[in-house]
Amino acid sequence: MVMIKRNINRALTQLKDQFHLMIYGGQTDEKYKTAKVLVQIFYFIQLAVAYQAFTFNSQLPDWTDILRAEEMFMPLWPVQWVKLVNYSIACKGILLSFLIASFISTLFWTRHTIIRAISFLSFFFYLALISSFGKIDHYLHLMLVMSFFLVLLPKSNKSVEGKTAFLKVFWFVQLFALTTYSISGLFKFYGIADQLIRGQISAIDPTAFGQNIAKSLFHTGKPPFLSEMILHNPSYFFSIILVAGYLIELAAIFFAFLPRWHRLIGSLLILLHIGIGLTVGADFLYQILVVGILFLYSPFENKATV
Amino acid sequence: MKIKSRQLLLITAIYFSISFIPVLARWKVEIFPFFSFKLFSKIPQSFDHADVLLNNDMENPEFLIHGNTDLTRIQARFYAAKVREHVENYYTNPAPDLLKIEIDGYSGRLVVLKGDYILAATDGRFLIKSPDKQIGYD
Repeated sequence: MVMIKRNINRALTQLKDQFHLMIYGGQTDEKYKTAKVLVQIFYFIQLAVAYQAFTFNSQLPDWTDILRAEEMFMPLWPVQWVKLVNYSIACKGILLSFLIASFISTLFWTRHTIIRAISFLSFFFYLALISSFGKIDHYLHLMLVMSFFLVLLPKSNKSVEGKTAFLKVFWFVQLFALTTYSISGLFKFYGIADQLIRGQISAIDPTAFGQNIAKSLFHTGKPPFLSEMILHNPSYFFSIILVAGYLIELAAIFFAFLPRWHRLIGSLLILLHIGIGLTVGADFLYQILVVGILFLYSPFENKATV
Repeated sequence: MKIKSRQLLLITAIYFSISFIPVLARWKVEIFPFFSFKLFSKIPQSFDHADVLLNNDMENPEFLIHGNTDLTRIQARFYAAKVREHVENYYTNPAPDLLKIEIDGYSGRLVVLKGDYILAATDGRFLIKSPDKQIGYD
């Protein structure tokens, strides 16, 4: 018991040391400049999402369908107030606020915390609105959470203290993103164990990948790019690919403390989402963009920390 | 104000704690946006979906949700949620008049589509079952 405690303490100390090295270990200006550009790009992507809320061919629900769906509106708690006012005006207000706040934050996110806070809230209300018709999708959740954490960026970034505080927040967003992947991986491995114990088809079965693909195909009627090949050729090869994906997710959180490998984990997670898109058909474009910002161009993967 | 690492950790912990409440309590709603950790966590063994059969043609059945390309995304979700609610009400209190359903001008009988996803996706084969008895194959 004492040995276990000692090993845990040693591991935590190593993690803490690695964290300190990343944040305080030199080249603060370079890391800060990179992180600042990445945050700028994030707000630009948020603006693109807000713009897409008004177009007709994106992943987001059509605004005209939203306006016509008053009788189908089952509001989540953040948009319960919409029922007390004119539905059409409230929906248009939420959409327009999202667009305007996103545009302002693209230009002035560094000026005031309140600008970033309003940007986050407008995004939050928009997501609550489009999730209030019977089902919650999750393709914008990571963007929303990042928008929330960016509210906590320091007011002043001119001093070394301000810059390291900025980097701390950026790193916490990285940690949060990777934690979500690891938790997802944990649920998947639990799923394997649970289904094996029950004698059900689990992820290690040759038909497992095909079952996931077939489920998506049954509901959407649209065959993803690689679906036919996998459906008609069940094989342990595809099970290995499936479980490898689970492993990448499970191990993700450790990469938060390994800046040398940020680009690697970013690439693997993006490949994972591309693979999901080509096989099961789930569109995680916004997730790919955020993972790219956070890890492919990580400010911590530099000579001081590698 | 410069935020400290412990404060960030605390905020993250609070977020996850509150977000996990609906998962542990098995609610159907979220408090804060929570990632779909359970998505694709288990391999589907078979399916069992509530739907509404709009015609009586077993050769070419038409359903309210499955295969209905006229629906917008919002309509499909809303109808799926309503039909699920309807079938749950039927299983709680199996009154015959609950087998007929009308939503937004669509009317038909409540059915449950059952089968294996791979068979359904490749051969189009699945069972159409009334909640009270099996009524045919597709």
